[in-house]
Amino acid sequence: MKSISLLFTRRRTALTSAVLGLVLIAAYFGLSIRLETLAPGAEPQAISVPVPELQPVFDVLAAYQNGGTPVVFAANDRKQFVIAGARELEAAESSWGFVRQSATWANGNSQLADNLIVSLKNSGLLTNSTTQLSTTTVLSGVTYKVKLETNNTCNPTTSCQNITSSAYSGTKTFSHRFKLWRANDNKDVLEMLFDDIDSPATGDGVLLNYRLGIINSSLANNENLIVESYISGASPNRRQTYSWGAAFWTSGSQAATSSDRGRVVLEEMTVGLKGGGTSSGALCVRIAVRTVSQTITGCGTGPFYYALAYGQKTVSNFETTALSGFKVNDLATGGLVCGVLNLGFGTFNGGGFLADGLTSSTVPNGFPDPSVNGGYPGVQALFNKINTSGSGANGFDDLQQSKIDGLNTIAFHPVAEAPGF
Amino acid sequence: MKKTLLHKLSIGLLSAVLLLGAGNCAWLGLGEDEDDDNDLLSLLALFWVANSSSGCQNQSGLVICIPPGVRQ
Repeated sequence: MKSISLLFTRRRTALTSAVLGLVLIAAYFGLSIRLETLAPGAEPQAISVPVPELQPVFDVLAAYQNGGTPVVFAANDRKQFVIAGARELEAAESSWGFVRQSATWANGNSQLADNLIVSLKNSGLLTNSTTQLSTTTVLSGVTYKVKLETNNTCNPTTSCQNITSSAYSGTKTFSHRFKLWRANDNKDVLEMLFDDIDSPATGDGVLLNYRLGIINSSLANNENLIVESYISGASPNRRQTYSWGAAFWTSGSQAATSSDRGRVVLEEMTVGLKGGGTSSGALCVRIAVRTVSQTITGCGTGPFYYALAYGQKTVSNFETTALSGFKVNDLATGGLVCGVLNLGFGTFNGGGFLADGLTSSTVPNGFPDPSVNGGYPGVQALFNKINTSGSGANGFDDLQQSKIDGLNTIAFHPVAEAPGF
Repeated sequence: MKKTLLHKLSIGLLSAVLLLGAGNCAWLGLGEDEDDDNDLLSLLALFWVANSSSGCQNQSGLVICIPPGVRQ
């Protein structure tokens, strides 16, 4: 025993063992991990959460100004006002830029949650024992305090009990919590509350809050922006709701057009396909976004609301049918841009944008049907659920304008909690 | 069927390796459990950041990843 103790220090043994386990698991799951001394500036890359920007929408709107002269929007004007030199397809594709950025944003959120959950699962720290762990570590060059509390050991207990969220009504009590604070000022940065990450449908799901501006300052500079993700249900009926209630940018060139409220709802369901047939496990997305108050020539002054719905097959070739609208002061866009311009249905597949200006009858066969088909309500009906309470007021898909406006209540649990170490 | 069994066995084996790895200090009578777990917690955080730039693959089985095409 003595010779063994000469070979291994306690901590080094633990680290070596843990790294070995993680490396094996990482290899199994196709991930890579290494532990090495990093040169200054070569710390692990900051967590990447792509954020949608409304600038492409504004670029498109700017294209409707003829030679810099503001024009009043009129139906079917788009082909008359394209950016000089741009081909029609490019102009049409850019009209859907925010659709694509919204999807990228939602995917970034899923990616963040997935990585965190998998990391916790693979760590071996989630056992039946009651555990309170805390440590301080450097992530992306920033020192964080990290705490993990399992099996109802949250302290204070109110940090896991009677937890509210913008994505469900009432309260929930969670069993486990993982939390990060920035060490230099004890600012809460991320918290994940969950019951059973192996069987989320039987528990309360997973509630993840994080300050995007601290995790990745290249995507937001408002440290008061908290993104809330709520994940519930089991495949093939999973649901995810991503919400935010503050501006991404409070200074700089992007502040004037920043989004300051928004909600993305992802839902798995069977969709009916144009021409017949259905696709199970498909994805239905509804998005409602608000911007800060601003003036867009020909469109008005005030906060702008963006509404988007799309259905997407999750098997190749990922055919997608989308419908969107944009309007000042009103989430009831009617599927129009500034009340008059009708982009119609847009179609995408695995190769990207295909076409827009489509009607329910001209969407190609094999794409999610704009109309009722196979029990699926259709993209038009999905879009019409925006600016309604969905399946219930204050639920995961409540997309009423008043709900979107009230998302500034999103907060950590409890508010401004100190790490206590 | 065989693939599923192998899959389960692999997961079981790897879980055992991790638990064994995390626990072997205690086996040797050298460990201070809390220190070890705190180290593991640090590694967990590092692991998370190191892998956060990879694409969404739904390894957890919980989340919905957006298929290519619409997303950029």
